[in-house]
Amino acid sequence: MSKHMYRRAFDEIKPSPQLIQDTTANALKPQLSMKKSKYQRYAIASSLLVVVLLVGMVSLQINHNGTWGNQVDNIASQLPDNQGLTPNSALNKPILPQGLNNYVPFHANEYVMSKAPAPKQPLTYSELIQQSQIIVLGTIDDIGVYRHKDEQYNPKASFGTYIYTLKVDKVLSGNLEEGVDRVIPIAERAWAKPKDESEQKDIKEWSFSPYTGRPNEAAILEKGKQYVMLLSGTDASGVYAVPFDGYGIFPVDYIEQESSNHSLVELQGLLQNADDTPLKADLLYKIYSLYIKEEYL
Amino acid sequence: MLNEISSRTNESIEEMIRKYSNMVYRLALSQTKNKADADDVFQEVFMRLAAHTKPFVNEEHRKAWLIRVTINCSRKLFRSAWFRRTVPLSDEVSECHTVEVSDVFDAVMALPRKYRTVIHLFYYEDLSILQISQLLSINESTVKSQLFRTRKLLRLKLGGDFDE
Repeated sequence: MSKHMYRRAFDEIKPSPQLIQDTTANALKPQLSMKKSKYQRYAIASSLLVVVLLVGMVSLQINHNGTWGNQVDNIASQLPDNQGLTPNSALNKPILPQGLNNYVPFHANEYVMSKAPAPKQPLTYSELIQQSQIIVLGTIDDIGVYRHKDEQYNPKASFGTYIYTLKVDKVLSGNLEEGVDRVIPIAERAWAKPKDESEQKDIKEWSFSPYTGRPNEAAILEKGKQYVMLLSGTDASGVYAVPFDGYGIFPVDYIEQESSNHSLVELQGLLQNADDTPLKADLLYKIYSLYIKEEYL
Repeated sequence: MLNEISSRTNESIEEMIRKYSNMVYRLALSQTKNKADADDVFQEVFMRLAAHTKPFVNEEHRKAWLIRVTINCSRKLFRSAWFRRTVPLSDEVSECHTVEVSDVFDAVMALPRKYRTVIHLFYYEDLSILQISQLLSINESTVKSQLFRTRKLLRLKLGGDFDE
């Protein structure tokens, strides 16, 4: 016995006729009405969440200051003179003050040194998907570099936090309110280095790069470009995090380019024969981007 | 014309559900170990298929897509706090089995999830080691070692009843 017995054990398992009937009926329903009811549920849930958050914030403000302050003014008072920020446009435009409440500008004197361990990468596509509660397709609206106010300095490296504001074009998986003007803040670690190493003692200019295992052509995100982003959830202030140091961020033009240049079978064949670790990592990212296209786009 | 296209699409979805319902449901159940969750996964997979607009290259491509989506939808459940509180599959499924088959079923369900995935794809879906490695994006050697460990675990649980 073995395969035969295994097959017998599963042969007897079948979906109920009712389940097949319900699924068929649902699958035949126009997608629009289905999505509409889903959005309505999201809208109700998010409205309730907003009410709860507002009540919480009001009570916190009253306890802390004895009065209710203007949220935007509070944020504005934290906004910097933009020293050492590249790029810096997001700081002049607090799009989502509630999301940025826990972030402060990245200042020049926070530089320690420029060594860091390798960024995290998923071992498999499934592992990446498993860590991603929400998958969205969106266009980057703005980019800025901040530091979380509670973050301890890492003695080995100097990190800031990119905050991308993403205009959500479509929710591909998970629960996120979808709407035309929906903009969400997303955080990714930024590795900060002085532009000129010889001037470390008096740093005038900084350069930042995403601390990520994405290949070079997909590493730096750009305003106005469309991305598929795999998100693992939010921090206390509603800023979304990216799992595996942003490995699950895929530029749409990259996905399109790779899918037109290669087939999955071809890439998988190349991966089987690849010895070089950077080449393997590059091939895996290409394969995952094709999976994303196949599964979600 | 539009009605014609719409009708053809609808027919094909019905046909796909009929054709792949057993495969998706069995794989979902082997992953979730729970009928109610397998039902949810089953529905989600076919809703995604209905919403999938890109054409499949061939039937094999469609099957691979369905298997991957089923595995991913099942894994999503594992993250939820609700799933962590649910009780795994019990007599509700295995009650219809004979004692011998039921022992095998229970032993398989007691395996770690990653082993259940490879053994199901290998034994039930008749996929090759190469196909499984491509589907799960893991090395062929990893698939082989997982199959080896799975058989070893099943032999431990079932005694000499489980051979290759």
